[in-house]
Amino acid sequence: MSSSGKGQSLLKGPDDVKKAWDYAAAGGRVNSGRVIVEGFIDFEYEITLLTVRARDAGGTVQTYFCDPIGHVQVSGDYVESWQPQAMSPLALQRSREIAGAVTANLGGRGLFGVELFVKGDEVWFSEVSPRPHDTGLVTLCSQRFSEFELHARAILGLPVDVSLREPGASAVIYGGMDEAGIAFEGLADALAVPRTDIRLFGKPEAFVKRRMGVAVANGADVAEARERAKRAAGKVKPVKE
Amino acid sequence: MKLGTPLSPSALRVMLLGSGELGKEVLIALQRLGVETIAVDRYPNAPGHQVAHRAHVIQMTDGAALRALVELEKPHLIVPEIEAIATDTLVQIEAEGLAEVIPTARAAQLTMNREGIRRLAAENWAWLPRPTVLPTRWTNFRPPSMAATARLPSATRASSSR
Repeated sequence: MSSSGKGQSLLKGPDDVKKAWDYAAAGGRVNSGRVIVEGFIDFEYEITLLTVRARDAGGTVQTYFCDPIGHVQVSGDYVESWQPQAMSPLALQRSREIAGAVTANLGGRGLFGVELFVKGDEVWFSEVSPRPHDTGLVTLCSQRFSEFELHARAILGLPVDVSLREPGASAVIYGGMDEAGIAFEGLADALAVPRTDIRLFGKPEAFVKRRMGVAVANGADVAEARERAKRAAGKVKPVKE
Repeated sequence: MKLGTPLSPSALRVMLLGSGELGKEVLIALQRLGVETIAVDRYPNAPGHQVAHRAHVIQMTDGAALRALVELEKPHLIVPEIEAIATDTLVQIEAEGLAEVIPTARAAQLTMNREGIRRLAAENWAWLPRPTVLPTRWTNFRPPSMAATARLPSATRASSSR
C-alpha cells in the first residue's frame, strides 16, 4: 500500500488475525501476498513535521524544520489540519531528531513531510514523503512561504525561510458526488468568513470522497483558525448543472 | 543552479511527475521564479496540467514511456509528486546523468511503498511501534506466536512491494 491507509485494520485478539490479513491483502494497491504487522500505539495526536533540506547562503545543505502541523484523519484521508500543533519541548526535540535523521539518510534537496505519532514526551515514526504533504496545505496561509514555495526554492538550490507567520488551519472540500465537470456554489459565503481563502483544484472529475478544494483560514489561535476553515469549507457546495 | 528564461535556450526545465493539487502549487511557485515547467499525470487536464508550460499524459509506472518522455523534454530536474512511478527508471536516469531526481532517486524508490521506508527505519533506528514485522507472508506467519510476542492489539497493513 501507499501512505493512503488502505487495508489497515486493528487486531484485538487471535480470532481477528485471519480477517485482518485478508482485508490487508485485498486493500493493498498490489496484492504481494505480504503484510506488515505492527504493535498498536495508543497515541494522543499525530503530526506532520515539514522538514526542508536546502542550501544556505554559503551553499551548504542545511536542515530546517517548520512548526509542527496537527491533523485529523478519517479513513486514512486528511480532513483538517492546523499549524502550530502544541507539543512538549521534549516531544518537539525528539520529532526533530527523527525527522533530521530520516531526511539526512534520504539526502538530496527539497521539502519532506515526516509523519509522527506523539504521546506525551514519546514520539514514534510513521511515514515520510519526500515532497509536499497534503496536510501542509495549511501553510498556504500560516507560513511566510508555503510548503510549495519552500520545495521550489530548495530544489533550485536557493535559501529558505521556514518561519510561521500566524496560526492557521485548513479544511478539505470534497466532491460529494461521482460526476465530471461539476460546479461550486457558495464561494461568496465561504469567503465572507473572516481571514479565509479558498483553493479549487480544477479536477475534471469529482468523486464523493475526492478532494476537490480546500479552505484555509487564520485566527488569533489554532482553535479560531480551525473553526473558520471548517465553516468556510462547509459553505462551498458542489453542484451538477 | 542558473535560472534562465522559459521557452528559450537558457531555460531551467523542471518536470513534475504527478500533477495534482500539490504539484499544481509547486508548478506555480516554480513559474514565479522563471522556471520552464512540464506537468505529467496519468489523466488529461489534471490540476497541474492547467498551469504548466507543457502537459503530458503517460502511465508513470511504465518505465519505457517515462524514459521516452524524459529524453524528449530533457528536464534538468525531475520532481516526483506521487509514489506510483517506475522508480527503477528514475535510478537509471539519475545514474546516467540525464536529469537530477528530487530529492534523490533512492529516496523516491525507498518511499514508493510503506515497506521500503519502514525497513530503512527498522534497520537503522528504534522509533517504529514495537514490535514491527516486515514483511510477513501468511505461509510463515504463526498467529499464536505472533499473539504472544506482539501483545495484541496489533495493526496490519498491506505491503505493495514486489
